[in-house]
Amino acid sequence: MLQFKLVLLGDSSVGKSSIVHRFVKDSFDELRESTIGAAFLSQTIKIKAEEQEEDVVIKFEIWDTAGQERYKSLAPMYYRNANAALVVYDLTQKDSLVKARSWVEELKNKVGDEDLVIFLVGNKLDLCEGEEDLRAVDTSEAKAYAEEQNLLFTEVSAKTGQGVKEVFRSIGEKLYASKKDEILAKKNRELGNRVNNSVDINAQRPSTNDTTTCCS
Amino acid sequence: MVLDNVISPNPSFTSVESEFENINCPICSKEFHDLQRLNKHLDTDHKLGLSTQSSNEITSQSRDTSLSLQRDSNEKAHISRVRWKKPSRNLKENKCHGCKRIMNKSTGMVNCRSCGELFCRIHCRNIIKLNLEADYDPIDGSWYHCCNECFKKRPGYNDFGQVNDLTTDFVSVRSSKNEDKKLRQLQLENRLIRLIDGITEIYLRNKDSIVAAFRMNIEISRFETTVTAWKDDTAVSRCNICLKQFGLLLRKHHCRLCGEVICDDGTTACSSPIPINVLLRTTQDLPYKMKNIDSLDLEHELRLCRNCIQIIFVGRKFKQDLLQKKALILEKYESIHNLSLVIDKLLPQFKDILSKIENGKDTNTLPVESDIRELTRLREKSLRSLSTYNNVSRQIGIINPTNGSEKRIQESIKIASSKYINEKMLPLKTIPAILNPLMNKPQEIDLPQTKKFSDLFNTLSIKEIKSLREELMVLKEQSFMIQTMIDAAKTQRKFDEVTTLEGNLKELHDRATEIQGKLGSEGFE
Ligand SMILES: Nc1nc2c(ncn2[C@@H]2O[C@H](COP(=O)(O)OP(=O)(O)OP(=O)(O)O)[C@@H](O)[C@H]2O)c(=O)[nH]1
Ligand SMILES: [Mg+2]
Ligand SMILES: [Zn+2]
Ligand SMILES: [Zn+2]
Ligand SMILES: [Zn+2]
Ligand SMILES: [Zn+2]
Ligand SMILES: [Zn+2]
Repeated sequence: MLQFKLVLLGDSSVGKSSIVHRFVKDSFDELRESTIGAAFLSQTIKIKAEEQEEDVVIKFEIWDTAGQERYKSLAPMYYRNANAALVVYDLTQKDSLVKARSWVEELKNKVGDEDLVIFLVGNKLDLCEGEEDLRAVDTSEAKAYAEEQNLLFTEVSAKTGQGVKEVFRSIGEKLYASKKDEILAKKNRELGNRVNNSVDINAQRPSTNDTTTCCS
Repeated sequence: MVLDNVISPNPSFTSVESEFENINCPICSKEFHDLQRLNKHLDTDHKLGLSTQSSNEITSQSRDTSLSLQRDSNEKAHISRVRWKKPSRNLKENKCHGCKRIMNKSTGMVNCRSCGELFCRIHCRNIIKLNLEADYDPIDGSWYHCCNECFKKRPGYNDFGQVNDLTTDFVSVRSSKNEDKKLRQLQLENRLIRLIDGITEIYLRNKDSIVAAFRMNIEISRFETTVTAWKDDTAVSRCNICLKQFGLLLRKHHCRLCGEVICDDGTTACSSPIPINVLLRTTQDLPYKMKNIDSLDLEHELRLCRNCIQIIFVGRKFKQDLLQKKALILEKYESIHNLSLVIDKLLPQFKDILSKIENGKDTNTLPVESDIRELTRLREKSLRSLSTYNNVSRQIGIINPTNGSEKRIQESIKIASSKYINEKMLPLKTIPAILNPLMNKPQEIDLPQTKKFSDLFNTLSIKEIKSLREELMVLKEQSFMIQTMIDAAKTQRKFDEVTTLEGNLKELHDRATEIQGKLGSEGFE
């Protein structure tokens, strides 16, 4: 089983917690309380990998941070070791995209990991349909920004569930792809070790920042 | 791709995000379980929806009349609600018009009866007189809750109420009273002088003749009545001061200064006989003919009433007390006062040099070494004075006050001195940050005792301290929540999650310790 750390960032009430709950519990709650500090949830998915006959099981450890300014000082603790970051904004609130941009900037400046997957997510897509369209951020604008910054991008609705699962699936696939070589190499090493019956010290020493665990 | 809950979700981890509770009607506080019902209630019971539902006017009208009848039966006429805002369906949009926070059950949600905006409970706490049209009507209106803005914008409002300057009236009343008092005192003092002068004269005239003693006493008594007209005591049945009935056991006496009839009851001390030499000694400032009669062996006493004693001696006693040795608190206070004069002189000099150096930074001129020395010297000196000030004011704090007014003085000094220290420390605290790059070369610039003083006064600025404290509080909150999550995960035997959470808990603790270290004595107890 692969294990990845995922963090959600974004202004208060853009729907971070709603997205996580849609993903983890497939439910939606109109009257969700604003998050305090950072909440922890986990969820496991399976993805099909090309070269492997079995599905790959990925476990996400998700830190859903609070968007309120008061808790801003906590965020670095949670994005520092993350493999992926969901930067969420509210399609009906122009300001929330500004905030999202500043999160992206902070991530690029503060996180050393080249492989950090940043996913820009516009939420509340359900409010942008029908006669009473409340959209305040154009898709093209956000999309252009995402391309320029090399981010993944999509628009979702935590309320209807539209696009939510796909976000996590793409993150899983992208992370799997970028860690694949590492993972396969390790597997081979383990196999090789067994065959040669010699001990590879590097392979045996548990590394602290290891995203793969062998005991699944 | 397959997506499923391979591991079932952990319901316990939702504990952080508790469900929204019931919501109350902003108008009548009735409780509702969901918004739909609340909105329906607002539309029907409070008529807020009628304007938008004009399509079925007939039905709404008929409903309206039945409702108003029903209402009239249990309530008086209602204040107009045309201006009242309806809460939004999206509860997160229901922000208090005052503080902008999202309103929920705990904050409450109320329409300002005047402007109709929605407010949280604490921002709709003023009361104002409104008529049924919801307009300000101080005469016929009744009291309703309103927001701050409406409270303040009502006609005639000012922050401090009506100003009516009566100082001059008070001053004239008071000074005329004081004048009366002063005149009275002068009159009594004159009598006292004449009495004592006269009595000593009579005494001197008669002291050599032994047989004259009896005649002398009569002469003195007669003389006393010429100075002050004694009140006719036949008509007086009660003591002028304590109003007790005179009788066999309560004898009548005359005050030698004012002539009033008073008693000699020791418990009420309406009057006391006072030896002439005592009177003379305590009123040395008065122009007596004989300054010293101690040697005269004159044992005559003058009976004075309490009022006259008060008038003549209280002010003198006060003046004498001032000449006595000062109370310890006041002595110490004088020394911190003097220190504050020193500090107040040093700080402006210090600021001048500082701004000179800072201006230099803008133009990229390196500060002159003598300036830095001077700046450092002034800073050291100010810190030393402040530190002494701090010590002495602490000493004042632990003195045992001997009476109530000393206690009050002590309290005031405590407050004032800590305010003073905080205020004066501020500019001194910000310095290390500005001078730091320069101070990193200790071999060039001699900084005696810097360490010692930075122990005494933390080098953080007030703003830094505030934000570090806030961060510390957030960290403690979060640690607490993570701990609950760990406990929950343990009971569910999700041990890999326990590991992750415990890792985070350790990080939180480490960061908290780091901040506590920075804050030092400025941290929480
Ligand atoms: N219509 C609609 N409303 C949504 C959607 N997602 C979230 N909301 C609503 O938006 C509000 C805020 O959602 P949250 O998930 O609590 O927002 P958050 O980003 O976690 O906020 P913080 O915890 O304060 O940072 C709630 O009232 C949700 O019901 C969505 O996709 N569509
Ligand atoms: Mg949240
Ligand atoms: Zn109501
Ligand atoms: Zn408020
Ligand atoms: Zn108002
Ligand atoms: Zn008298
Ligand atoms: Zn009396």
